[in-house]
Amino acid sequence: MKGICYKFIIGLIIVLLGTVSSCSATSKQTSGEAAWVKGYHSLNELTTATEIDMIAIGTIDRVVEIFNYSPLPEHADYGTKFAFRVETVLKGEYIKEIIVTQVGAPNKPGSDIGEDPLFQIGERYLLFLSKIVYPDTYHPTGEVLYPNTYNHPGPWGRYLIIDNKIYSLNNTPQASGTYHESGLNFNGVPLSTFMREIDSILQSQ
Amino acid sequence: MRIRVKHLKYIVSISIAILFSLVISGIVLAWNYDEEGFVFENGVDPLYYQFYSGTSQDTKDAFTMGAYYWETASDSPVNYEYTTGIYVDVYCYEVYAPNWPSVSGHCMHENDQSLCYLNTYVTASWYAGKRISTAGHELGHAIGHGENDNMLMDHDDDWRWDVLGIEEPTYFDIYYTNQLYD
Repeated sequence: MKGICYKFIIGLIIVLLGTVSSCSATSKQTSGEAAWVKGYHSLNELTTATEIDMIAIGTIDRVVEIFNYSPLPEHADYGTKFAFRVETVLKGEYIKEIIVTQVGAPNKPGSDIGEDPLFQIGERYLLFLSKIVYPDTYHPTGEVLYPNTYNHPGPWGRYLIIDNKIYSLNNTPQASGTYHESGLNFNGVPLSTFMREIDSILQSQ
Repeated sequence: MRIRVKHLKYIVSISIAILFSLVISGIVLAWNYDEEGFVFENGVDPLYYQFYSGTSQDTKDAFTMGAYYWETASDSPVNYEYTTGIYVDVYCYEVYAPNWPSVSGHCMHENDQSLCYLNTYVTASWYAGKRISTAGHELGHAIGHGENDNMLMDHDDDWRWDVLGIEEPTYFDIYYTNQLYD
């Protein structure tokens, strides 16, 4: 009887393993993928990182520019500059409106990064941002049109705000497949609590 | 005789524990495995790659080694072949994109082809090994893999190369490639 029981359990595990494999094999994703220079694992690490020049709360206001940054005649690579209307700055100097860049273009499906999908107009975010040193290099004239241009360091640097609650990207419909380290996994944390935490980290520096 | 039976019990218990751990790890890995939803309909043997014009030698070397590692890994079904012909599966190139200092490489799919680049704004100052690791990662996206922790398909360059020292596809990268193209 015991032997049959063991065989049944082992068989059940094998069937379960097979089912799980086939389920995950059918998941679909259309956007491209990227490699990120650095991953972040905690709010402390993200807040105190030297490359993070600004932590700001605000709203994605409009698309300012869609540009092709590919040097190739054979193929185009698109990027988008969004205007980000700043409400509050937790780290760095207050600027009323900044430009936030992203890989991909709204009118070119598949050109963005699956883990870091393009912002939608009207979305409210808390963003961890790095200032871009040479924001308009792709312009033939080299003219700097948008000096206050920033970029968030991947999916770890953007937190959607809905009803004054914070959601990491993995807890939003935009990129629910994205994983976040447990230290950066937020699902409805009150914005005030999140802000206090960041402030406390900055104060203790 | 009693001692032997006692030992036998230990051996059986340990074997069951190991088997159970393997099954659990298998379930966890299978559950976490991420794919892009893209595969080459005709398989990956051969898979022709080519460089776009203006690609630097450093970037070419990185993709060439990355392709070589995918091809030579034990049990790999992938056969990357460089071509100068007109039939190309994977285009490799580089961009200089200061607008995203956090993105070292990117891969997308267009018209049943994959296009992979390295961002030389980031990668030009790197050790060759780290460039190879990231180029290999992008070539993994090219064949349909998503982001998977602690393998060549780990999306975090610092973690993958600086900490784990991964430059070539791991056992699990190849295991999942075989799953994709079985």
